Amino acid sequence: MIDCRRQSPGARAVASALLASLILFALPALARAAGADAEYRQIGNLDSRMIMWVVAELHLMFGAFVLGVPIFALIVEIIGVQTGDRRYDDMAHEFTKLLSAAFATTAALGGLLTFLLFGLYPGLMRHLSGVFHGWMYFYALIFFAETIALYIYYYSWERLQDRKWIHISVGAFLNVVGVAIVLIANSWASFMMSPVGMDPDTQEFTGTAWQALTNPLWLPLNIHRLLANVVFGGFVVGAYAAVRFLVTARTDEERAHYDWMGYTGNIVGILALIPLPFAGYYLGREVYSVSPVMGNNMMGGAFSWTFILQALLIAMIFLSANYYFWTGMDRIQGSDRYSGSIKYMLVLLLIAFGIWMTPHNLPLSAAEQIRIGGQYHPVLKYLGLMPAKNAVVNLIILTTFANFLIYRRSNQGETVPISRQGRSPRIILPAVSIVVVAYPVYYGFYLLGLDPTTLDLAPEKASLFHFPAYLLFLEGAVALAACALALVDRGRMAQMILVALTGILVTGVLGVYGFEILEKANPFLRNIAVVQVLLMICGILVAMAIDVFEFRDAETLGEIRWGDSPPRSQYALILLCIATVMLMGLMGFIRSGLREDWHIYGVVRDTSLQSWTPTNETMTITVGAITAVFLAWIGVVFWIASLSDKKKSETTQALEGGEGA
Amino acid sequence: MLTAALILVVAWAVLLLIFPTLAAWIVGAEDPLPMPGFAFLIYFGLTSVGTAIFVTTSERRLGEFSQPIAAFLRPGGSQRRRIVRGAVLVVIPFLVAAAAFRMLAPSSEPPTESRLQHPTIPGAFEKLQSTARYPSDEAVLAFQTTAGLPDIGLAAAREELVKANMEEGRVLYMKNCRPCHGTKADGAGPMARGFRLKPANFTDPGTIATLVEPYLLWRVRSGGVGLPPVAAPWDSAMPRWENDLSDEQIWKIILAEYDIGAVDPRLPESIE
Repeated sequence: MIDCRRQSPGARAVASALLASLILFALPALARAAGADAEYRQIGNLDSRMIMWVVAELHLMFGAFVLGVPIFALIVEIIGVQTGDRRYDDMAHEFTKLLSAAFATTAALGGLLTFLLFGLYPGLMRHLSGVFHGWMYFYALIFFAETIALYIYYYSWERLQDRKWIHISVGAFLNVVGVAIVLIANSWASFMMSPVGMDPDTQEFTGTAWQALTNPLWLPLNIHRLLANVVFGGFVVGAYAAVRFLVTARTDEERAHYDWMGYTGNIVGILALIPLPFAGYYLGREVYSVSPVMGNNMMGGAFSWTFILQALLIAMIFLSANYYFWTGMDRIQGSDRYSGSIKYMLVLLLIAFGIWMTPHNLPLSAAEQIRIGGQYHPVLKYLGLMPAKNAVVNLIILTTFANFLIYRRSNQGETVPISRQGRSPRIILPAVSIVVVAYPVYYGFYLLGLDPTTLDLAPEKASLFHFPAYLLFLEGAVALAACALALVDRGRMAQMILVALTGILVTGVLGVYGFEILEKANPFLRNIAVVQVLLMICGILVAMAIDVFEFRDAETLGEIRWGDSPPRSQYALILLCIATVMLMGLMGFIRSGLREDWHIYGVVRDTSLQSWTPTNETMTITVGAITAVFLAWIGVVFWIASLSDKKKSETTQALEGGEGA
Repeated sequence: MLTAALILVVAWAVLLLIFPTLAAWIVGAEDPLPMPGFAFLIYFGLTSVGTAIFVTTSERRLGEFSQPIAAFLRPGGSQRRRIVRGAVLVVIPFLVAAAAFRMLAPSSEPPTESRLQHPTIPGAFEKLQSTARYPSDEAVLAFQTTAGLPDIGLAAAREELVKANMEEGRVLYMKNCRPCHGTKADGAGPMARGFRLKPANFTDPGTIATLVEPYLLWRVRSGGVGLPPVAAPWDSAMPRWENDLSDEQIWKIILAEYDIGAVDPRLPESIE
């Protein structure tokens, strides 16, 4: 008889992978078994769509954890090797152990999801397996490869301590196959929104497997999901550390460990969070490009109110992340030099979120409509338009970045002048600056030569394209000048000029100019958004590169007092995780819901009883419930994974006691 | 604590007293423009959250904030202090109760609607293209013949046809749309004042400039009454024009609307 209690996490993972692989290999047979006639089935009187919604979302959340955490663990492990700090290595190991437990749950949920799809939606799955069956076999194979990689990665941790780069290579392979799995699964979801090669009349697929995989929304969805998964992984780690800090940590050492772990999780989450709005904007634009109907429904139609909820959750995430930095400054000696800046950054963030959350079409009471004289407030309506939103989202990102820079330098004292740091800054800084500046400058030239008629605009509108091009040149010149200033030991001044200029250009100048473009050359507005992103990336990367050398080997004013964090900072970490999970559920609803009554948009119509779009009330209740179930479930998974630690520690104590006797 | 209270009072005064006058001054309105309740909720809520964040970011500030409150609530003290404390502890629940009553009590005013800006367009309209702005080659050739144009080439003839469509569209607009949407397409026609929800102002870059042309075709054809249930909540006095105007005429009107409003239609975008 098999003793299940002795089954290792790796064995669980292998068993799950085998199960999932078998299911996937059996897909065509399942599709045939589903019968040619049946389009939909039901389990009793249960709502099939609700079942699918809950199971798919839970699977996605666990999947995000299983994908995000290896990326997180690998980054942390590499940092550990670079810094020689053993804590990083221990943390990466701890999370890989949690991963094994979560992996089995993810695979089981994946199996359930597959059976439900074939059982309840046989008609749809007939189409999807017809298009994707080749990729499904490949998916099963690399799923197996991922399991083996995870198994080796976890169990060779101690054995490969002396050959760390081999271990890191295994981790890299684990991530490569993990990402490949997500890329394939993403293609199914994106294909349902932007199908290619399917005849709308006959519903026959005449394209190739590669065309189906690389459907129009595949790339933007991949970028968005991969970044979001790292954010998710970082914030789940942060929340795990916060719970351990608040509940289970008994000694100062344990508190210090979990305080530091929470900090690291938050940093990884924030670094991935900063480019996420750009990826989201790209995905949104491409949804619009695929279908103006989906685009309109998303931003101005049935789903527009869900974007107000999204704005609220994003505000919670950014404010909580910044709040965690601010509350953490109390435990850093020397941070009082910078605490005065908190209020200014907070005011900037609040103004930005005020604008971010204002809808173009404010809900008005009848009395307000009469007094205002219409359904749009004559002043506030401008805050709801895209130029205003683009301006403030960049301000939010830049403020968070500035906050991160301040936090980094809080306990840094006397610095080593860059001119005395040898050759490396003289090579790396200019090289980084030139690489970073190259694309914005190229894009500037592209705008100068852009033919307005390609955007269906009159030829004289070309002059409107020149101004943003000159801004790109200006930013590039200032970034190079900042690099030169840093090399002659004026790095902090250079950073300040660069960040301030970036903020002014992106938010103030292009924010206002965007309204002029909206009025005079609306199709050019998407190029303005690209210019804003390029300015931001240029400013942030060059300022960060300068920062690395500016504070390299700087004198430390005192050690960070890990473990001294106030409990409220840990609640901020927990809130970050909850808001992120909830946001994931909300955005999943929007992405999927945009198809309305189509399974495969424009080709296979949803004729089931539940083809209507759920109300926002139903959505909030369902997403809220899914969030609660996921957090409780993953909490249980973590608890189960920690049982072996407890047992190990008791055994060690008993052995030590025995030896002592 | 006083600073925190002062921030909230100043925010309240700015939002409810200063903003209405400022907004009226900006747009040149005669009467102050009220701060909508929903917007007040967002801005004052953010100010409150921001104040709480600022107060709790350091132990020192938290201490400065909470000490006077703790000292006030601590039992004991002079007779006068006890009376004031008791009064405050009674008044606060009453204020909360009054606010709750105000929110829940039945009222004759219609509820605030979370109105959709753009109701969901049926998919059938998605791929349509304006025949007035992008006439087919056959239509251009036919126009060339009927208008008696010399052989100026297809591109030049197309331009002439679009111009002719625009002129016809302007006439149709003035006959059918002007009473509500106005001569300048600014939503201020002679009949506009009769509606609680004002007709759309096409010169506003947030209205038709954010939409692709087929969307307008659908709205003009179906009007307020022809909207599908999925488009609710949506109230509109827009008539249903599909019984009175042909699609061709509507496309011409749409062409003219953009021209009169001095805005460009949103283009269906291509994948990058």
